[in-house]
Amino acid sequence: MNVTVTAGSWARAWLPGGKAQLNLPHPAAAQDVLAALAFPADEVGLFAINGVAVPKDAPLSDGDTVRLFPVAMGG
Amino acid sequence: MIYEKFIRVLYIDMTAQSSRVEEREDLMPYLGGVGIGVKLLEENMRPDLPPLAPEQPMILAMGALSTVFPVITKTAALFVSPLTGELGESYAGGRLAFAMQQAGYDALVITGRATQPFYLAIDEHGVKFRDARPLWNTNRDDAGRYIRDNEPHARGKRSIVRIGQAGENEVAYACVTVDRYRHFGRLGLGAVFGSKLLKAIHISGERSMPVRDFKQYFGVFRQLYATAHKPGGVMSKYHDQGTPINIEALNAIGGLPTRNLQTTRVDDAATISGEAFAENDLVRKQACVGCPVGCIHIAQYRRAFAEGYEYETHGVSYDYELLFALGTFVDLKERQDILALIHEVEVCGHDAMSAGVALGWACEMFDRGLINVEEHTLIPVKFGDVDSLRQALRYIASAENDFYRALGKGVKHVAEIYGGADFAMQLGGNEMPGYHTGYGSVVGVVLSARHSHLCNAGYSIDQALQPGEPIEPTVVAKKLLDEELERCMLNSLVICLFARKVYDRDTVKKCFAAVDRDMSDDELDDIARRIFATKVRIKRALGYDNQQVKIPKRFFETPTSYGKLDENTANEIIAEFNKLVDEVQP
Amino acid sequence: MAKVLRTEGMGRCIGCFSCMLMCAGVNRKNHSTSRSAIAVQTRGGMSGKFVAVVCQACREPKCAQACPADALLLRKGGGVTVDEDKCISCRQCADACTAQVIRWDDDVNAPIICRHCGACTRFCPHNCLAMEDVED
Repeated sequence: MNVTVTAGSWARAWLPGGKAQLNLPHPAAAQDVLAALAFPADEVGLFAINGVAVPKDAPLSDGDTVRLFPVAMGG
Repeated sequence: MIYEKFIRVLYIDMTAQSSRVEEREDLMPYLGGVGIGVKLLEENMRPDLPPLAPEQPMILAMGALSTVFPVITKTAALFVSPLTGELGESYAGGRLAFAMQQAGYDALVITGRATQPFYLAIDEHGVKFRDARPLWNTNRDDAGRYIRDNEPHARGKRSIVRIGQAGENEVAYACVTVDRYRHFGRLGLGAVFGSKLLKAIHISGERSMPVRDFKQYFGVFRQLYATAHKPGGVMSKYHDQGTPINIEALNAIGGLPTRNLQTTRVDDAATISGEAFAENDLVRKQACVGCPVGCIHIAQYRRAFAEGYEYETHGVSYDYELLFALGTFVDLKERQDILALIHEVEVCGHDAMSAGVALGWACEMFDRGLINVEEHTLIPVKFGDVDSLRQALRYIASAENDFYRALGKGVKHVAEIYGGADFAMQLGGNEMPGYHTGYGSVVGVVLSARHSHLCNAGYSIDQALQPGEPIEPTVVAKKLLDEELERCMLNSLVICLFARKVYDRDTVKKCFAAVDRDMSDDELDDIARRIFATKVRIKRALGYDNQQVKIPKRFFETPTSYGKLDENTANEIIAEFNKLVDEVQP
Repeated sequence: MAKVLRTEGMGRCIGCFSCMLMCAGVNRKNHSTSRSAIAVQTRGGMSGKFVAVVCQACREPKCAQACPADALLLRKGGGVTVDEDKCISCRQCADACTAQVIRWDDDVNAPIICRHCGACTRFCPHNCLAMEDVED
């Protein structure tokens, strides 16, 4: 299935341009986009599918957009 | 001090205008930083007297590895807090640790009270007491400039730490500014300075420090520099957007304290996100000495002061905690408004976080009609109204009337007099930090020695859980304590906690070995426990009791990003934690 | 081809002093920035700018001309190297330099002058410092 992955500029080391198109095999969960991008899991605080926050194991459908949010850090 | 077998302590008596130096071998088991700081606090504090009594000490302590390795940048301040009445512990970067090292002092212990305002000029040769009467009532910028110009013969690198009007008037959360852009923010060190009529400390030096084993030292330094500086590495987020990345992160999960914690999300996080500030307002970055990351983000605050395109411009350093406390917490939605409020806090010399939380309480009280203009606030104090909020900050700094004097003693105190304790967002007497993520953040702040999210990173424990995932109080309590113990040791070096992931145990041991001081894991564990036990004794001696702490209702009413918290579970975690503490410090 | 140090990127400087710490470490085996040949300073306090005060690699160095002991030897590409054995610690070199870049090492009582080794350039996180190729 085709999914789009987006993230803010914080993720540019792993998602240059803030956007990528992926083709993933069925079935796939939100967190599965990370392996395809070599994106470190401990950098992701939240997944959203089509603008709605979901648990990391939420299932994906063809045409979904997954947005990655950073982990909140100290300071 | 590296390579030495003693801790060099400079004792300064403000009353007698005298000083002496002691070389304390017995302090070596406390390493440096918070370690030697708490020991010196315990030795010199007076539990029988109020926090701002002249006899009370304040201690500034640099660390066992200060500056010689990247991101080991901070100085610890230890004192009796006028805000909480118990352990005062605060950290600042800038140039202070380096200047102390170059002047040749591991720690400064300052007691007494002067008869007129002074600033201290400290170098390798000793202490000079400089008349600061012309500097009393100056803001932190003018004070810094006058002092810099008054010390033209200072050798080497200097650091200037100074208070503003808030400290002079003993506001309980007055901060101390370090080298313009850094602060000893929390728990009211500024008031301690003010109570001693100490306007500032100027410290400088150029002490030669021959490297013992250059090959080993350079090898370790180079590796750490590369790690700290690596694009896309563990530290790069602190350099890129900096901590303001948390606006996006916490808003997404619903953990961003908003409108006096009435809620945990804002409508349009994108306009005040770290990205938005970086793209529109950021003009430069700065670093503390010895840190190649450069996490200080400075924005341009451009203020129209009159018609006809009349502008003044200020460089305002912004971090996440300020965007929450002086932004989302008081319902400000424009970036320039938030920068305006941060600038006001800096000019007044308040701790940004406590001041913002105090304003949040006051806005809600005003909103509910529980306080009014005539008897209390002098002006309408309203959520989202930057001009009234700026004026309120000035009134707190000048203790304009009884209400503002009380507000300047912290939200816990002012709510005891005027009401609204349920939504006076403090934990253990210290105003809340910018995380409402779960038991880790809320209970973690209550339990930690200095009531800070940075003692134990409770927000990290929360984020590792899925929302509603069942928690084990014993597990949470142990995680909080284990992290706090490790940070007791790390805060003796004194690392910047942003580099927490860089300075794992192996790295710490390598660093010590490179400066000819081998440390084992057991020794480091012992040191951590020793320091923690000292903190517990200090807190008990000053009357603090974990069991007596009441968590304001709203922490349980407003859901965290993990979910709604339940008071019984919170109390279970507290009880488990206290059991574990008794094992470390019976 | 010789190399000299240029400091064209100081507008990007974040004031971390890594350059100074490494110069002092590599060249004089010292942890103190007072032993660094490059001095990064503020102009106008911390809210002002950072500047680098360092040897400009003069082709006809005034410092060498002023030295009565022939302790400063001309260097390929410009600037000098210091022969500490010949130095008589008179400080005339430091006085002579218009750019005021010569610092002093009290441990050996000799001048600290940048020898354009490039160590500092390898430890600047913002590439403010760079080595430039020049004619011998």
